[in-house]
Amino acid sequence: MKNNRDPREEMVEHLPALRAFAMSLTRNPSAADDLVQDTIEKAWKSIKSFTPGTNLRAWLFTIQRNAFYSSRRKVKREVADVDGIMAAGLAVKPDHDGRLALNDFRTAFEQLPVEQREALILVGGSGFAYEEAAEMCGVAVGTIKSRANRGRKRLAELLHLSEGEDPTISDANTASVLAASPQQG
Amino acid sequence: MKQIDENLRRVYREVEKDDVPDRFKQLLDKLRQQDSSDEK
Repeated sequence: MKNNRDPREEMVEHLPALRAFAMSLTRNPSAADDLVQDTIEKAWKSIKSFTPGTNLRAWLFTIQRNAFYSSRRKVKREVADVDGIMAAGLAVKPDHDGRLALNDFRTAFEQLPVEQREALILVGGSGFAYEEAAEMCGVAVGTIKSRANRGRKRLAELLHLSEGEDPTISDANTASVLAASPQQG
Repeated sequence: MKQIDENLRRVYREVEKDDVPDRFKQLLDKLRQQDSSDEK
């Protein structure tokens, strides 16, 4: 018997995060779950290349994004035009209380190029450090920072937030959701 | 930009808190079984 837990037995704990990351990459629930399935199968087979004691989630995310980009190259069915058309038609206004509806935010987020979505979800959504995100994406830290910043800027434009505008989120529900968020393990 | 980061976390967490579909538990079971039959 081994003292250490088989990292494959820990994969199940990362499924929710993998699904959330997959959604930000694919923007489609069924494609996202197919991507997660592909990721788990690949990770299971190549578990020997995982270094015990290092960040399993980061390792899984790396496999997932590689799987995403390689299937995307194969399929090549991303229609560049759609982004432009949808972006042009998008007109989102903050609610009367100044708070953005989550759906509006999601719609705007989905307009961003994939590199920006990825950078934002890694550092802004899932809380990886810029350095970790850079390593996962195989680019320099500065590249991740600039992708994230361009993404934030573009979101602000799409959502008609003026530069530097930072309305206080006073909504009680949001505050309690944030407070009740499960601790990341 | 604080509002944007708050919303990024909300979008991410919204999927993360969903129940994981059964297909993934079945997949992990299948992979485990394949391994144990490969060993012997």
